[in-house]
Amino acid sequence: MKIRKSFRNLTSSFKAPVIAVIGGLLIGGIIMLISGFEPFSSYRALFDGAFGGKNSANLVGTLVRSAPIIGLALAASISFKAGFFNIGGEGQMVLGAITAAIIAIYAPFSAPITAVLAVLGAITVSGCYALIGAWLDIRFSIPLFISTLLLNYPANYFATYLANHPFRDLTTGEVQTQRIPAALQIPKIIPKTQFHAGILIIPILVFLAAYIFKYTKIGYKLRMCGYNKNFLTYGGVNTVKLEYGTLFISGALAGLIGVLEVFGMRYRYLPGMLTTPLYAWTAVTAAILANSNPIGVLFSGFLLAAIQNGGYGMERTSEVPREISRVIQAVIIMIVCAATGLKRKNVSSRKEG
Amino acid sequence: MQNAIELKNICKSFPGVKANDNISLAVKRGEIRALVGENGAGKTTLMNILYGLLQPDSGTIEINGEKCEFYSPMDAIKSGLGMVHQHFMLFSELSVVENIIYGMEPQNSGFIRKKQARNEVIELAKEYNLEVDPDAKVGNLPVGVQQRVEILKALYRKAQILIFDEPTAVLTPNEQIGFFEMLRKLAANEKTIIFITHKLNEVMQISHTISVMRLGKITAELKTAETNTQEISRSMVGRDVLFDLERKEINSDNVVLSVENLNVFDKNNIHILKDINFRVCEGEIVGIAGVAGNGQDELIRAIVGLSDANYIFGKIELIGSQLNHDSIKERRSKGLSYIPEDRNSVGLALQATVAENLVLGNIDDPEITRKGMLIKEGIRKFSESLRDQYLIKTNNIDEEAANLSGGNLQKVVVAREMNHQSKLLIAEQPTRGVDIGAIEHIHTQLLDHRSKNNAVLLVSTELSEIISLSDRILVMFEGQIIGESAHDEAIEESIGLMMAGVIPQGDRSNVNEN
Repeated sequence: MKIRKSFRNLTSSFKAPVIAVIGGLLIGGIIMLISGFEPFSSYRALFDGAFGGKNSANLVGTLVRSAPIIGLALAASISFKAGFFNIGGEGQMVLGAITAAIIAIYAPFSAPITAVLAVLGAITVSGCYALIGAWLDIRFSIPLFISTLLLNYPANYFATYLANHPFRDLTTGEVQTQRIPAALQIPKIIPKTQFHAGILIIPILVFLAAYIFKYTKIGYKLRMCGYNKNFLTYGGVNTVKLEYGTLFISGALAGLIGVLEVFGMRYRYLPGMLTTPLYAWTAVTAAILANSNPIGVLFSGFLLAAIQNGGYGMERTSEVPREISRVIQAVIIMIVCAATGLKRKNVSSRKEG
Repeated sequence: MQNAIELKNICKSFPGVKANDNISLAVKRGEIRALVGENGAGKTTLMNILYGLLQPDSGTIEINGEKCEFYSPMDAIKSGLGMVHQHFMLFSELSVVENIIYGMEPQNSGFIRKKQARNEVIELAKEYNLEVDPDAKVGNLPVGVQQRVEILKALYRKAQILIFDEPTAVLTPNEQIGFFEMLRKLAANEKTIIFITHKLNEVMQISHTISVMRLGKITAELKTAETNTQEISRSMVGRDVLFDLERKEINSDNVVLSVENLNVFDKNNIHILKDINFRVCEGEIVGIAGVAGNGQDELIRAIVGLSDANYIFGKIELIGSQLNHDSIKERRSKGLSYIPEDRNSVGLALQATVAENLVLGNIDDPEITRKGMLIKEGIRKFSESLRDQYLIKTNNIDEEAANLSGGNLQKVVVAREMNHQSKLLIAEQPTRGVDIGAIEHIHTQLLDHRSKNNAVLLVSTELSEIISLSDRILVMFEGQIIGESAHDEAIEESIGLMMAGVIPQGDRSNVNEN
């Protein structure tokens, strides 16, 4: 019976996202029809672009793309679940990436020490950057989602400045930092693809977070804080400390994702490498889609990466612009939000009756 | 005489409950009918059906002998019904006149005839003796006056039948007296009145007839003149209810809580609490009476540690140790527990499970968590024992708290806070919105706490509750304690006057010297 109940819980929590995906594909198909494209072959191309290719190369590509999305979605989920809306993952990730790149290039130590220093430095900088939002919220009651959103911009521009001026690689003529030493580059584990060993950390972090939320005291506090912060304050828990802690962890995790992108993918920092693919915004979407459930972002992050990668594939083979995949993504989000809103409405009307 | 309202065989089911089970009800014109029953008895459902907010599964409604079908409140209003909700349906930014005429504006080719509307409202108010300033902004009016506006709104829509949902919950004793007079006048004017309540003394005072509901059925139809509160409550609860609770005589001078020269300012530097002095001793329940919004909130927040310490001046001591700069956690560990007024937004996390709500204050106990890990088995044992001890009705402690009824949710809060066996228990509106059975249980628990030589500070706007439980009563008015009275001399009338700011004899200097 217990199994059946947990199965029902599982299916009910998957219901909205599944309906949303189907709805998104349907509406995307209608738009293709209206614009004069043939939806079935286009979707085939999308599917192929996401999962197909020679030796499933596109599937690996989707996995590689999903890594930063899932990682950032996890960072967002941790704060969302505790009721703190940190949507500054982009800026936090960028600062982590540039910090790690600079340390890796210029620190005069052996490779292992430099690696540790780079990671520590990156997560400290990113975590502290997220603390600014928390401080503004606690001290001046500025909503977190506004402060963290706005703080993305100075972080981006500052990182661009650093890569453009003091730490620019003058030998290439491009706006970018120098390459990090080879000893610090994370090895690829699937040959001829971008799949590097660092990606394996992501699922570990996901399960760790899920475990912490469910089985530990701090997880209990975070969940209660997300349900009702006043309740926790009233119970004698220092919610100010909790907010700083949560934002630091969330920011630090975003920074770590930045480090992985530098050490595992590009081997240097170049402006736009993290912002142009819209990783952070896709991640916020993934977190909402998964209702801030850490395990859930594993699926939603992968799904969104698949739609995006598929969109590129579709554009290559069938002339359907990849913007269609953005439309599908948008419809999915709207349906999920509507479903959550309706659920909330039902709960409150039931209570009044 | 013809019946103004006649409901016949009304049935209404919601998934899993029969909210109204074959209910028939007839009310004569000019009659004041009290509809009483515990929470969840089906009173509100019945009234919502009568007012067109819900449609019955079966059964008929007749108004003045005519069969009616209401699909929305608009239909009901057309048939002469008016409803005054517990939470007022007013625009606080608009004036009294604008609120009253809303949706029924006298018009002249699309323009509102303001002068005419204003005169009509003044006329109407005069006719029924309902004093209001027609131009005042509703948000600035005290609740008693806002209620008058609601009544005028119904009368303006030519209501012949008025339904009141717990009308006195928000009123001071003096406002209540005025309200009752108004009801009598309305009834004398051939208006028919139904009012929902669970306060039996009011029922006895004002109604002509009483319908008692229990579990979706009418269990008794009584004439007020021929019954008593015992009989009514028996029909409500299904068993005898203890009203006079036994209290053990305790005379201790050991001070548990002492508040000296407490002054509190808000962030705009407005002086909210002025020179508050009082003590609560072991084995004592001290009640704080007062109309809501006279500084009780701020006082409790200052003691519990929920407000900014920088705006608090004076001394707050718990068992001889000063609290002013302690965190809530430190205060709790020194022996304070707190049943907050607002259980939904402070006292509970509704989306969490019952167990998660129960363990909040014990989260550091070795049987609940060890080395930062939750102990599932310990949490289950702990919550189940509280559930059994405090008669919380839930099948499963892992159920979402939001599924519980109001009374049971309050029991969750009471159980958690009482379980600490703290030296000082602060109970703020501990029985608001809970039914008679739960009230009795909570009151017994409070007295039980007292008899274990603990101190209780009770804040309630329910005067009868304060009087029946407290050893001493302090009355707050505009941020000050303006009067005190001991249990045996507590007279409802004089406390009622003090709540309105009238100081009986003597001056306030002897009050402050205690």
